[in-house]
Amino acid sequence: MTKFLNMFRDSDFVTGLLLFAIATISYSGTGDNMKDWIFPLMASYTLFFISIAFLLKSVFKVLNGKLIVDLTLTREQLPSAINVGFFCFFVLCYLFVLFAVGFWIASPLLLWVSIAYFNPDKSARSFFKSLLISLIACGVAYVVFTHIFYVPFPQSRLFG
Amino acid sequence: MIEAFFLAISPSYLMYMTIGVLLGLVVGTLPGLTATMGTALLVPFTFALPTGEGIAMLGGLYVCAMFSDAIPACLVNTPGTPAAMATAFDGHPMVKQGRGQEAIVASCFSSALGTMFGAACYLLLAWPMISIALKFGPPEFFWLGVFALTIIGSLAGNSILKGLAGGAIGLLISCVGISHAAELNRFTLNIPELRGGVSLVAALIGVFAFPQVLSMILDLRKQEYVAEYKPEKGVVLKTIVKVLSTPIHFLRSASIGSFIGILPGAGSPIAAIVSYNEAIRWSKDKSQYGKGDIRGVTASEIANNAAAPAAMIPLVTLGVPGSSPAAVIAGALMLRGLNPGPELFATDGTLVYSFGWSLFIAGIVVFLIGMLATPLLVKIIKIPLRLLAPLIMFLAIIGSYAIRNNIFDVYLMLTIGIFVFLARRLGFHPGPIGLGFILGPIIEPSLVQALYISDARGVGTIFFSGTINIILISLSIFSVSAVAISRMRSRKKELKT
Repeated sequence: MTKFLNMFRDSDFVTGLLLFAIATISYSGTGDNMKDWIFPLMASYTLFFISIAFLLKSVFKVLNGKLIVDLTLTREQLPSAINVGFFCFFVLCYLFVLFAVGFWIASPLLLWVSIAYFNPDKSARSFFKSLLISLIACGVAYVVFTHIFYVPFPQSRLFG
Repeated sequence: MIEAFFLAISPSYLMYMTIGVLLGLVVGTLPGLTATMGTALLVPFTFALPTGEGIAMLGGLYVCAMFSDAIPACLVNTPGTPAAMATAFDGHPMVKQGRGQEAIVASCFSSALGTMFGAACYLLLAWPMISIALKFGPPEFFWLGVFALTIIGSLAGNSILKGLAGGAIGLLISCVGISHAAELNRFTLNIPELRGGVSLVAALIGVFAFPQVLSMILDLRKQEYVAEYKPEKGVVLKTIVKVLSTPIHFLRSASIGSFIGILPGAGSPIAAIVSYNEAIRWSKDKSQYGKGDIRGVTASEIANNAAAPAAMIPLVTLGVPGSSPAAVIAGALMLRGLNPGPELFATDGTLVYSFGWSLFIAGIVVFLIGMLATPLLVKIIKIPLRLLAPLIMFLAIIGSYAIRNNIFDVYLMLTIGIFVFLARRLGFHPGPIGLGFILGPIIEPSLVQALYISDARGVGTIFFSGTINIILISLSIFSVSAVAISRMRSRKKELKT
């Protein structure tokens, strides 16, 4: 059982599974018209053969007892992984908040929260500094994108 | 031509061209803004100017964006435009080794040289070059794309299979949207936004920028900065000498860039990729590529900049733009009642040649402005990661949104980014995924068109006959074999040691 579970911590086995899944999904989405599908089919077959190669390699590794457990998360890495998770969460929140309250509230908020979160110094001075940097960055981006390159930013649904 | 030269060095030409160059610096540096977008946005402003000055300004923006896209590519591993993807392969490792200034100077100087070479081709060799380019049909474009794909062998890192798989994934992503033959929906999952396909810029930001930001956050506890900032005295001169000391490398990269530039639809990204691949293939010491070899940066930058002026050759000789920004410049000319093509050459030769000279001089201006800006730009790596990561992410989101004003592109960018970040953990290199995504839109339409032609003439005749096809097939086979042999040799060496 442990051997079986360890297979999921071997990068070759996981790669094989991932590629097999992508190849299967893309193959199942193809149609009959040869000219329309020849190119995606070629890519799918390539992925399919490579996935089989990786899966076979993993099986041989298991049989020879040479399985490499390289997909691990050590205790030291855990805080960094949590940071990545938090940052992704901030970004997702930003995308929701952006349309509700508009660029000028959502963007400085994203930057401020992220910069303050990653800053080990949690004093009031560093919070203020983070806010200032966020506002300057948003101001520069706003001027460059909207006033020089005429890119319209999303409008707030709540404030118009 | 001499009259055109004096016109190009007149104060008004120089002033507007320099303004274009400065705008190009901003356009290329910011991910999400492309040279096409920049030139298109600048067109209305050029209406107030005389035609010559107006197109000189557009040309200045175009060539400078081809240089400045290397800045984020080198410093934060995020290409400013798709043309700088190959620059990042060696540029970013150089920065990580504390050679940031050298990387930017090399990019700037080689971009200037590439631009001047491309402009010289425009001025002197437009007609002979176009006669060869006209021999390129769909099968030739298909094989050119396949040849460019062989670079995967060099980019794959430790596992060539993972490189190939990454390339195939990139090609599959490029298939999303309406098909080229019967205009069917492919892999759109009934999402209307996907019918238009995945935005190239948003996808490349997803492949390179977002995973890079997440890696920065992952490294926050280990390091405070992207790399150590080590300003070195005399680095500018040393780098220039280094670039000039490889004249064959320069000529090869510039010739590849100029030739691919004149092929309509190929453009600077393909030129940079093919040039990078050739630089590796012809190099005696291949081991340093991808680890911070200056020749990797110069090969890509010389070619993508040489392709920019060369893309104007089919425009002025045949009326067919060689790239998207060239199409915008064609539009700007047409809006003034001028028809680009042989007619323009005959009726307004001075305008055509003064534009060529402006592009040539733009190369020099790019170098001067680049040199002035380099000390400031390199200081980006002095920004702590805890500040840089959120700022890059913010620009990545805005850049993905800006390209089509569509929030769906941001969602796609994030999805691709998370996928690539996790794939990197499995040992995938983001390069092949980006490469597949860039080459897919070139290879697939060519394949479909060639298949239609083959209905009448047979697949063998279409794909495997003709001098250009045979040359490109031979080069592809040679390229793949060379990579396989070199990998086998290095593995043998490793086993011995």
